[in-house]
Amino acid sequence: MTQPKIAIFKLSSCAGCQLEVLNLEPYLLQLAGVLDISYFVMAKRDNAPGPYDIGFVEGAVTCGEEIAKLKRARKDCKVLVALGSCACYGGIPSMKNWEPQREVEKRVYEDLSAIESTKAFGIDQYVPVDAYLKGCPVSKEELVNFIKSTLLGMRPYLRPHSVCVECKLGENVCVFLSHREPCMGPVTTAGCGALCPARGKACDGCRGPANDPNPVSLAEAFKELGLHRPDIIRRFRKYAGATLEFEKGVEAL
Amino acid sequence: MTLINPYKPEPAVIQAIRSETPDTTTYTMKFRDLQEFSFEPGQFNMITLFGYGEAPISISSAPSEDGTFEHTVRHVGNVTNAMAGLREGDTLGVRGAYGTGWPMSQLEGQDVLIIAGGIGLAPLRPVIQAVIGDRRKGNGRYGSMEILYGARTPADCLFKDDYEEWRSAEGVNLLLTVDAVPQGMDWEHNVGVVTALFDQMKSRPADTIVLTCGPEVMMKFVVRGLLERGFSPDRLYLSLERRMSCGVKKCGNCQIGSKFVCKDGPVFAYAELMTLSEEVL
Amino acid sequence: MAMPRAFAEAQRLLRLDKSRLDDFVEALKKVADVYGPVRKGVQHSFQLLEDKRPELDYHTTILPPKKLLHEPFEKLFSFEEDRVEVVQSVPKRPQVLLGIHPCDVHAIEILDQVYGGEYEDPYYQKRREQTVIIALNCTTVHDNCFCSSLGTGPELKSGYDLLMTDLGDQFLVEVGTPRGAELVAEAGLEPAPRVTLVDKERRLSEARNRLRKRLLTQDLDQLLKDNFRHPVWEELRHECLACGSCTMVCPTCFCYNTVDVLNLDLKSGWRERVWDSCLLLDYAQVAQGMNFRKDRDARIKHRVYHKLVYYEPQFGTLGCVGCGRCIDTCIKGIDITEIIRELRGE
Repeated sequence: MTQPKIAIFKLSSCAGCQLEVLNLEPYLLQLAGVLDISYFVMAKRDNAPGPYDIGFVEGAVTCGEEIAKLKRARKDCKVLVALGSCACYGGIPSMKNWEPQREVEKRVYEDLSAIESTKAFGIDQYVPVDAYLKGCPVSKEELVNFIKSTLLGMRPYLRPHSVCVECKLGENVCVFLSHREPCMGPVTTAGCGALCPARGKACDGCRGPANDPNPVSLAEAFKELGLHRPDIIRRFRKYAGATLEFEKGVEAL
Repeated sequence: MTLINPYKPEPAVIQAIRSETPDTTTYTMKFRDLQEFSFEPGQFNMITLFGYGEAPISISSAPSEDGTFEHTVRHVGNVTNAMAGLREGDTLGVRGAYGTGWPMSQLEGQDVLIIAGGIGLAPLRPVIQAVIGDRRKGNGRYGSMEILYGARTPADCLFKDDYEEWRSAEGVNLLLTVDAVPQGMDWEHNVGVVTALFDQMKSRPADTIVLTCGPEVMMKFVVRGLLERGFSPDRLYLSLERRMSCGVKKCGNCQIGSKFVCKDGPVFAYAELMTLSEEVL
Repeated sequence: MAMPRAFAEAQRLLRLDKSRLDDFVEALKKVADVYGPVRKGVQHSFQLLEDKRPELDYHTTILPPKKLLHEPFEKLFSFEEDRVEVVQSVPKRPQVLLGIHPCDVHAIEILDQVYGGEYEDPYYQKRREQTVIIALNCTTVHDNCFCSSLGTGPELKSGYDLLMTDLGDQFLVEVGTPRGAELVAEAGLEPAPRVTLVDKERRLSEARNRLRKRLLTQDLDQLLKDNFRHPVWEELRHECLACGSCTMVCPTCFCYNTVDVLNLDLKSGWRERVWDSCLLLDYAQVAQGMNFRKDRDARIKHRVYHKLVYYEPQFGTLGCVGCGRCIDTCIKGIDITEIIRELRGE
């Protein structure tokens, strides 16, 4: 493969995933010989127009302008990757989806005349997506793994199962059982190395649903912990409420 | 204590490459350093492309004296896709041969019925070659052989170069079928699923051992159809596909009930599979 | 080293004052890497005893000592293009597993079968040869233990180099092998009078009586064969989170997956094996998405049947040692002993 052209686009997001890309500098420098980062507005002044080989899109889609930008990116990129949970599922911005649109807008803006926002969705609501790098932010290891695999033309191995697997591999104390914390680990995709539980904090579900989640059963377990309905709903809707799987956790109540 | 490391792939060099279909290729290989290598029809090797991983792939040629062996792969996974980039003289990693092959000794004195679908013909080709080779030598170890083969389209049929030889061998009947024939393509054989060929076959339940390999849904209908025709479960042999990470009964991935497909299989008598709690077909 | 003559009888029974436990551990450290149960939050974990003290009154550990023989992540070999070099991180010094419970010792004996056989696993076997087992009989039991049903505890009869039993202010130390004898000679333990055996028996039988959970093994094979379609599996399908925890903490689970990890040159790297679990959807998936155990209940069943039925024909033993870790770790409280009770109509 001759130096593949990489582009990184931003929609509605905190730029934390792009920051993770920047944090990859030591790796990127080594890969620089094989990669051409031709569009990355956050990191460089000169940005080349498409077409690109791989495009990473960060952020949720929350307005018409972004839909157009996304569709353009899709046209320009051979491989389009959702970078981080906002692009995968709507992420944090999607928390607003369960309140009337106008109410949310009013809370933020004084003058609503120029505001045309939509519900927040992941990018696959609008365009076909070739790969998903989950997480808030994305995992650097998975990102490097993904880039290496793509350069070799292979599907990367991204852990599809629950966070619990990695949590046990790291021999962490179970925060659910030992501290009665409502941990989302059992239904959330691994790949983060069980980052939060390893530090004694319940999994927040930031990586969205695992490949065979049982949110209904977990919601029941949360109820038995003494969590109230709104608290449980908040846990399922924090990052990936727009997914069918996590919505099931909400419906279970 | 020195232990042989069963997980270490041995370098093997590609001797020849033959394109079978748009998505399937046959590679002739030979170990670079390893001198001793023997295998039985129906066994498989673990094939490594370093960096891409390892995959179990059945051997598609009969044992030969020059130490070469063939693998016919469909390019669908990471390892097999990467194999598409290999050239003659390239090296890859191979370890094996593993598993229990086709019941060759039981075939002696019996008629052989081979039923294959798609890539499933690959592990059966060594049997076909062995039976025909035996006949050439005039040993007469096996009875007649019928081959029922189904593929998606005429272009997807494997080993087309072999058909002439198979057909011309004495006592061999080759029946072909495809799911569909694209417009404008010549096809003088059957169209339909492989079980539709049952009405044309001559094999008799009492004298025949059946060997089948293909997608499980195909084998399910093959087994059902043959049982209805009076074939007994202990004379039906199937080769199964399962995920494998070791090939040597360690990684556990391939288990069906108490059976390790890598060691107890991949070839099983249907009668044996019937005893398992976990349903197979 | 030649077996000391006295090993035969006199020195088989020794005593270790609890006040001298630290000295004993220090003596062991001189000749070996010593792993023992140490506190990890509210639980315990087997760790290298560098500056930590072992807590021998522990209930159980999060991961079984298996992790020191079959590591969660293990490099099998490194490669550069097609050159392969086997890497084996085998400890140079022997490793002592101090204070492991009878159930876990039995589990290691099962793993010996799994990693032995026609194709011996050199990684496991080399580490196993270097392993000294100083087991600890269970004079206390916890809620989810059911070892007595499986004959794997609370008392250990074999499989140890040394065997300790807590007798209050001291440990009775029994010698099981010449290697064990060497270690106690090194540590200078005093002989114990035979009468301490009476005390040991009493404490162990009390422990046995305190075990609350049972898993009746009689006709288990037939019971499970007859109940492949029992409604309990359907209930479990709704209940189970399929998170894989029960298998990750199991001392006899052996499944793994392999991954090639590439360096940034994209030419060199290594093959690693990582613990895998039959509870996971991707476990039985092959190319093109074909999955042979797509349904959660099929996977739950495979775990239970494997432990209680399939190990027998595979390795000549039951696959469960009653350590209770799978019950401890299940958020939903799924309990293999309850499943069997339900199948038995109890």
